[in-house]
Amino acid sequence: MALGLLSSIPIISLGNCLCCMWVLGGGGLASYLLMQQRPGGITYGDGAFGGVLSGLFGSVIATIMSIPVRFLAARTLLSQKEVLEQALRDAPGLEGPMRDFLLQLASPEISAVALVATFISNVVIFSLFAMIGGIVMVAIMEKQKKQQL
Amino acid sequence: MVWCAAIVAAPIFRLTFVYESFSMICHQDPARSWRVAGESFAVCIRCSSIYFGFFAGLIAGLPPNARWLKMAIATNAAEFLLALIVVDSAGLRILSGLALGATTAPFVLIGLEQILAGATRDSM
Repeated sequence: MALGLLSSIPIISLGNCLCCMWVLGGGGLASYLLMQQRPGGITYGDGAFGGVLSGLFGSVIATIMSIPVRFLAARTLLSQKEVLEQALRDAPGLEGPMRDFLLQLASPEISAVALVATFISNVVIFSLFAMIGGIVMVAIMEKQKKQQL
Repeated sequence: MVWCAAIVAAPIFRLTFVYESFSMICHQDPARSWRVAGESFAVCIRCSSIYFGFFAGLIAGLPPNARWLKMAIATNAAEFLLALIVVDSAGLRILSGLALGATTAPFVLIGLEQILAGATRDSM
């Protein structure tokens, strides 16, 4: 929940520019809470799994939060779209459906395509980084359960 | 490997969508990024160093060491504060980033192996 909220609120979400700080922290928090539930310790796999789950949940929250944020930041998104249009004009080989797709993503209008693309990119990035955060937290706390592979 | 290749390929092939994807996780300031073919990498020097360090750590097969990892995290935090207060050095960013990536890699590898081996499913 914290991961999704912090990653979707403008300005605060800039924390993710520091090596995906909120997402790593969210995964670490999930792993930490899991450790509190199990005094015997958890495996790196448990930490990773907890991180992935928190990443999935966070991506749902972030995608839902992106709807009102798009409304509120319509003017900024419009100027971003103009910059992207200029960049795409300069980039060779990016014509046709791919160009339309990228412009639709940058558009302030809420569309199913933009929401699905936001959700997919959130799922991939958040799950990956939250998983790493979860594993790193287990390693830092040194509370991993001995496990035979 | 694909991740690192995408970072380097983005400026060479002018892959706009790669820049868009990485913009979620990096500020992409050209002044703080390596350049190739006249364009900056898809992520900044610090992020690039972490990812390349991570890749190198996987290739080298480094043993997991919690003390090294803690030291790498502390070094990165110290370097970040140092950059804000005293001196912002690209060299320090590279070294601390490489160390963090390389020391994290073995733990992530173990975590993935345990997930794939079904360790988590058995213990949860």
